[in-house]
Amino acid sequence: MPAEPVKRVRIGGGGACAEDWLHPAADLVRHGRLDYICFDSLSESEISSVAYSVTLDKGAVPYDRYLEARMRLILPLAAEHNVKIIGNMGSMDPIAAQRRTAEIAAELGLTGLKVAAVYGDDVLHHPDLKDLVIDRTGKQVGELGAALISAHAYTPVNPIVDALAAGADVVLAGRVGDGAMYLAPLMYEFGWADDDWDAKALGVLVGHQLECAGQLSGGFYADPPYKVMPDLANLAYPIAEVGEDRSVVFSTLDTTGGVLNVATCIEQLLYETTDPANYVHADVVVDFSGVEFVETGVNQVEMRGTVRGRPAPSHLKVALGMVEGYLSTMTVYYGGVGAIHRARLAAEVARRRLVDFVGIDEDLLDIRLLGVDGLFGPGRISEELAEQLWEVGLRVACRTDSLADAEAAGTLGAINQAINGPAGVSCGHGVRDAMVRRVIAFDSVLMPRETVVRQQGWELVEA
Amino acid sequence: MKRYLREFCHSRAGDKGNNSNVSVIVYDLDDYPLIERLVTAEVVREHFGDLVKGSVTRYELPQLGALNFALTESLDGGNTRSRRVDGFGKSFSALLMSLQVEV
Repeated sequence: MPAEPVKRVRIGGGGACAEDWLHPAADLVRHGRLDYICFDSLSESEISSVAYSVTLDKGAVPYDRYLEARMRLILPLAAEHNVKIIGNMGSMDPIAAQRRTAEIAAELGLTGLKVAAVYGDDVLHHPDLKDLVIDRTGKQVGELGAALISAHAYTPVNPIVDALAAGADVVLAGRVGDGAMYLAPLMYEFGWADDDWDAKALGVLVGHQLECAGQLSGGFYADPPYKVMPDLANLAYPIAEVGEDRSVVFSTLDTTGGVLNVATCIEQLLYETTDPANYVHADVVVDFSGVEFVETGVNQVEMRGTVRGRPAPSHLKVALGMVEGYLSTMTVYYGGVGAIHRARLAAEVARRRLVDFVGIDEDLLDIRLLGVDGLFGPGRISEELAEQLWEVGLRVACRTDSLADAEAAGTLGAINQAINGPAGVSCGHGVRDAMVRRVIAFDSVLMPRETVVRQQGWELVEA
Repeated sequence: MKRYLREFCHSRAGDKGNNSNVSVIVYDLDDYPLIERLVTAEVVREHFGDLVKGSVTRYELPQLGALNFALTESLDGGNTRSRRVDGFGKSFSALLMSLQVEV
């Protein structure tokens, strides 16, 4: 008797951040034979940015501001090709995102579409929060007072799994553990137990590989002539095909550009990690130090070797967002023969005026010559090469609690060089509102797991 | 002979808060012993200079031909606070690939 075919689930990586390119995600839904597509809309500090825009502007939406565009493009395609959507685009208000998505679905004629919201990550008003200690500063959260505008825990996967089991076509969460959106469909489809740590580790690792979408399939990779690929402009996003036998194959569409190979897989494996034997996630602690990748076809790589899991951590990371002073940045450019000399003089003039005349603490300033020491600091290029530079940018940055000082750094430090600085400078940067911004800073604390899990939940609505 | 790491390795950099990580991966596994010997945490620390205020720790994945460097306090407070052009430190991969080693 022939063996039963192994059940396989195909998941697409639909986006790495809120504003990521949508075109390849639509391509994946159309041509990827997907079961699921997942969208990561939340960088570490994204929710705090959303929270701040909501406090500034009553019209700002409390969820991913690209949700509207994404849903209008993806929902009809997903319905046509029978693909479920999972995302954290609920941001600071998954219920609001769910309601809006259901409205859009109804407008598009997709009545009956089931949209779930997963909530419980918001701990801003939890009474225990104020006593927790911030890792970086050693201070208690309560000391932040009104500056604290958001606090969201990296939450476990379980409510997403439950929503899928209830028949959700779309699941919208807020802050969940990295990769949880990818782990959830695997737990649901294969019935993985909550304490099957090796299975969960595998699912989280699949998520880790896909959560930055194009970064597995040619994005953030090209470096000609060493790392080349066809048609980077039209790169495809990646797909993971996971078998019930726990086989994992990464691939991409063969009709588009980019590349998915062992090299892209290793780069993404180590991206945003430290110890490969101790990758701490809300759902499991992953040991991927024994993983291997084998190319099994064009743009097709199988993940082999060992992936081990250890029990989930007793405490969950909580991302804090706080309003913390001002940051100004402004750049002007010097060009032609001798550009470096005029730019260096301008840097000295900026420093002296801002420190000696305005009274800004020198430690708050960061003055760089773009093309020389902008990215990596001084001492990187020879004087001979510096002499030949055809364009040099003077960039003045200042981080301060004083709005007046932040503005002075941009205006007197950079823009005013066109009047009272060296010759041959660019002029035209005068957009003050773009020059100074509030610092919405990120820090983190650890909260007991049970405290967060108790307030997690989900609900389903039909379009 | 001096060679840039870029000539036989590749790299990607990522961030978490004020910490950065940078990988070094050989194209040819035969070159792994070379980077294991030459690209130490001390060498990386010196190459990055003032960019790293904290520690440099190296992790090894020989079966992948890869090293992973964790650089703490290396992003001027992290992207949300950083005054740098590259607050995420994603260009750190290019800086590490610009390291010259004697082979």
